[in-house]
Amino acid sequence: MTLRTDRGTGALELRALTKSYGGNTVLDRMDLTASEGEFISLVGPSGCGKTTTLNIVAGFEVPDGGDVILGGRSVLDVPSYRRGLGMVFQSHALFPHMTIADNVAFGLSVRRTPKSEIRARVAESLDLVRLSAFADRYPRELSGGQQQRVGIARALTVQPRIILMDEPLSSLDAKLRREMQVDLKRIQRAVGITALYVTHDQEEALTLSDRIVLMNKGRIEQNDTPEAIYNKPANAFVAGFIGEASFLSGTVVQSGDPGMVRLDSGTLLKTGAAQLLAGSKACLAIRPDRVYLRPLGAAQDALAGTVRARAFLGTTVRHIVELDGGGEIMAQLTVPESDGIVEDGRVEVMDDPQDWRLFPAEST
Amino acid sequence: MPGPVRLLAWALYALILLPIVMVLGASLTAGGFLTFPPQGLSLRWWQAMLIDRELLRGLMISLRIATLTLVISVPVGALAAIFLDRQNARWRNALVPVLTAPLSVPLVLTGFALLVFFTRLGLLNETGLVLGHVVVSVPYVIRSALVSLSLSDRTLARAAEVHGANPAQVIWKVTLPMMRHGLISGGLFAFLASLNNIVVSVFIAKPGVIPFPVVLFSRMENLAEPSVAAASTLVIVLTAVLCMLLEWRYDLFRSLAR
Repeated sequence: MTLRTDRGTGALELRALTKSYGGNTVLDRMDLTASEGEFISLVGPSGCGKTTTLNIVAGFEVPDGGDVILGGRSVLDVPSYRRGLGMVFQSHALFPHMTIADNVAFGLSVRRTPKSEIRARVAESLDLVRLSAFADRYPRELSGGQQQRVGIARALTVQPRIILMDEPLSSLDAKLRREMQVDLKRIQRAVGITALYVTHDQEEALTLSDRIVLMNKGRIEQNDTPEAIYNKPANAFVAGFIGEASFLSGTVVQSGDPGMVRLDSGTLLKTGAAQLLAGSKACLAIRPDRVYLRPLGAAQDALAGTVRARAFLGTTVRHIVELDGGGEIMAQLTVPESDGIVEDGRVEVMDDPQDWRLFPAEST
Repeated sequence: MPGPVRLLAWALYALILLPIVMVLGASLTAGGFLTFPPQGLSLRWWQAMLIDRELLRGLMISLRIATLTLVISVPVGALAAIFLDRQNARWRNALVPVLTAPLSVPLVLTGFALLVFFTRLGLLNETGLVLGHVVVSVPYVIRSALVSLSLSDRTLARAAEVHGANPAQVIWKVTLPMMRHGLISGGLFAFLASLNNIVVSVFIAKPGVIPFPVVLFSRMENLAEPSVAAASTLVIVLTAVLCMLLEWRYDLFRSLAR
């Protein structure tokens, strides 16, 4: 291993990365730091710049501005093949004319590593992804999940500074994808490698990541742990993208903690800490699993509505409630909790004021 | 296939194949002239061909030129295809017709242009013949190599690069193996294009270095002996065997159609 200059810079640092294609800005002064061994997901809708970021780190694309720092040194003038990276591709991109062992050995054989060392390290990598029995097969003889494990082994065999993954599981079916997520996390932990992972699947990002970087239109909307990004979304975009949320709009009548918001429907709602000024328009968001329902009683000024749809999801039941005076709210209840609530029935929405997130209205 | 279409298909096959059968038949005649149907059966013209120095010499020259053309066209065409494949679509669409122009320009014009050019360079000899044939053969290699490149996964080159392969290693270890089928079939066409070429050869050939098709052509004009038909049959059979061997070994045409 070369000298590891960990002067607080971390394994990877992106500084004010900027890229545009024909006047269309894909990356807008993006900053990011990854520490050793961290699993970071870049998440966002298509066109948000996550893949461009990965391609710039890989050396496939050159940024218009900014810098990429790997292990303490700028690599902008270093060609891709000298950056010491490993990468896993959405299409697997295994070499079809080579055996599994030769695919995994590729990075070492182009570096003219001694044969005996190659053999040992390929065996080690294949063991790690549990494909030792397939060394002499060809990629086309393997299933999609097995092929992607070969892709991971190929990337790890070069002992990269950082492993880049471009939607590696999106070509697999849902069940296999979940199994592979567990596998991927196990391998990354075992090797202790820094990973930069691109996905549009927020659930995958929540499962795998130490940190999620949510991007939109070339900018970072929020960069935080999965728990923080789920429980304390920085804005309405984050709340809507990561996990599910119902949105209501209204006007702040009292800022501070507790806050009060007059919904557009006229109902007065108590919320947690409201940072917005009284009188300003606000967007309110709440997770479906933080909303409870009960048949409507005689309570005055309750948030009331009519159940429009119920969907049984196994352990929970999902309800969509149309609120009186406009707006819709999702409620996810356990089966016993949903007892007595029927379609087209009148219900009262129960909530903990602390579960409402308030954002300035224009950010929706 | 409905009846009339099937009938049309057979008629077309017949149109393509019957002349070849006629040539074979004519070579087996016992008479002294090139006629069909043959007048009696004999192998005398096949014997005559086998001791015909001029014909055999032409055949050797043609095989030699075709082999050299193949050996030069394949690497040249492969590199051109790799270059073209890496350009953006607009630039590529502009360049492909230029680099494959000999396929669309009438061969007579190409031949005449080469005559003028090679006269200046003093290349009206076997070297000139090889170069001339390379000019008309390279486009076949470029075309089929481009097809196999466009069928292969473009991220393969990136995967090679990011894992440490320098640009030469990317070409050698990934791009060329991906192009293998295209290069084999392109090479076959290049070889055959040279072996069968007459138009370019007539302009460049000088006495003593006359390729086989040119010998055949002048024979047919002057003395139409059935030995010409025998020699033609021999070339047809050689070509067919070559195509079938490669097809059987590499599944060429199916892999191109995929």
